[in-house]
Amino acid sequence: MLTLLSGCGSSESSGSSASSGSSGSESSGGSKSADPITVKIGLLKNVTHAPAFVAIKKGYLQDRLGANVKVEVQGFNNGSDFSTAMATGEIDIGYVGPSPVINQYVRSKNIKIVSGANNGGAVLVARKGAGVTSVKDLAGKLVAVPTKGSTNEISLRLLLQEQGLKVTTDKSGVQIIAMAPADTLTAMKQGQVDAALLPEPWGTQIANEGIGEIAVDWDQVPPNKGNYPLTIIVASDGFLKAHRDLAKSVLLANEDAIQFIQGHPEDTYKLVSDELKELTGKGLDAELIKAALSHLSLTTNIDQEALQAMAQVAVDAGYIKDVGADGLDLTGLYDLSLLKETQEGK
Amino acid sequence: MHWGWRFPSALQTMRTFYDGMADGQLLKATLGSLRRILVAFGLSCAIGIMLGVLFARSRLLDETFGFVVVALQTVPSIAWLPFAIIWFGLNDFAVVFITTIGATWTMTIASRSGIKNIPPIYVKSAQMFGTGRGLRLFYQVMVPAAIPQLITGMRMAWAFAWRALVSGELIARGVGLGQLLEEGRSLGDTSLMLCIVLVIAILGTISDHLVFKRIEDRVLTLYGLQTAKA
Repeated sequence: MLTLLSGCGSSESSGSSASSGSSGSESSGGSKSADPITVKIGLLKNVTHAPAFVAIKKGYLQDRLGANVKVEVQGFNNGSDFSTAMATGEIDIGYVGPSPVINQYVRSKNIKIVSGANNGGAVLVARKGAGVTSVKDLAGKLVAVPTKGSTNEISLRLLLQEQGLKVTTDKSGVQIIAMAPADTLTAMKQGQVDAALLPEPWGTQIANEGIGEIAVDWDQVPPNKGNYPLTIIVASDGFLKAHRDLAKSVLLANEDAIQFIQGHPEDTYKLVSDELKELTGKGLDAELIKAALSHLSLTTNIDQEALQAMAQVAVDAGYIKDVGADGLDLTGLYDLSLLKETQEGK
Repeated sequence: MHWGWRFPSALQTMRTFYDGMADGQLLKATLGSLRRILVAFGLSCAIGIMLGVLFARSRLLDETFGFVVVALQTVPSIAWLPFAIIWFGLNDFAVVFITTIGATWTMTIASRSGIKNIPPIYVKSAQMFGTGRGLRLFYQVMVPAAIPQLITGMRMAWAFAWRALVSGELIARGVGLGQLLEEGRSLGDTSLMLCIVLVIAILGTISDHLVFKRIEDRVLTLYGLQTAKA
């Protein structure tokens, strides 16, 4: 194990990893083209990814990975972009919502879910004046989600299913449009979008700016009334194969971060805001982050049943095709052995 | 390296095409895009020819606004999309708007040079036969004389319109090939993406061969610039 501590320890491990690096270096040989001592971490720029922000800002990630590992952070706008980047080897490991991962997995079969980070944290927000106070009112309206096939869209589809509403491309049912959350805020201001199912803090922000109101709170959003994986940790097969120990370090850092957030919520806000500022150039109000963090529950556990149900929605929506008679087989999607190790190691 | 999903096989792509046609998704998208491009193309031809004729006939306009048109032609039409979204919203209208803009300037310049390059002897003899300087001269002499250039302009405008259309559709809402392409990207569905690219290419080829090339051939034959095909 290379983890932890300074001085000679790190120079030793840097020596060893440099030698292992030269053996499997840049060339075409391995399935991973990255420099062995650079770990490329992906994440989305939402407060629902707070454990990632804290793990980075608080230095947990660097501590766990060791001084000879260079951490490279890449922010993404949505899970689709993230999943494509991971499947094509642009990032090694990172935080994302599960549905884009499932969509990508059924096609490329080269990424794995290794841990959870956070359950819930998305809300349905309706524009003021759109006449939407409950899900039923969404008929004939235009609803935005961050990206096609996103976890939020799956939640939205489940919500509509419960009310017997259909997703259509005209006014006879509910129209869904994919739009970056920042654009959704503008579009809602202009009255172009009637409602949106968004990860926090966007929902709260839209409500606070007086543009809209929360129509369905986070603990009512399906599946499982908000208790479904919304942020998980995913790693590429190549990374898991070549650097299993580093993947485990990331999981440990994730646990550190979750513990920190739970123990020191007040200190978390600034860290989250600072990291968001680095990623997007704009920090966030502490009040907003506080509200957002109260709208989710942090956990490393993965509810596979919920994910299976969400995958089924994607199948029904036509996003996943060629499903066998016995349903979608997602067994190859999970590698929870590392999670088990870290949980039992405590 | 797992390349299988990055480059979908011919079989996969054909299946996606078949599925898309069978469940109507691809068919609807294709029809939606065709509807938009036809509206935009019609508009840009009308506006383009009108402006072109004005520029060709009026030196003052040509030397003032003509310059603006050349400048506008260099602006990729997608650059107007942010404006279009603010002016019209993220809807069909915005897409038709940028598609029209994308094709109009090319059409304007083509028709302007088409009219300008009419041999003066045509116009003079027509006037001698009593067409006057007005509308009759325009549609009896100038339009037919400029047709070879106009057709070239239309072919180019059609290609420009497709470019603008797909890039607009990638962002706007609605049902179209661009939206479907974006959906394919979001879902990592490479076979769908390739399918759309092929559909666009096929539509482009078909329209060029069945419409523009035919008209061009007929016109060239009619004008004695090419012998009729057997």
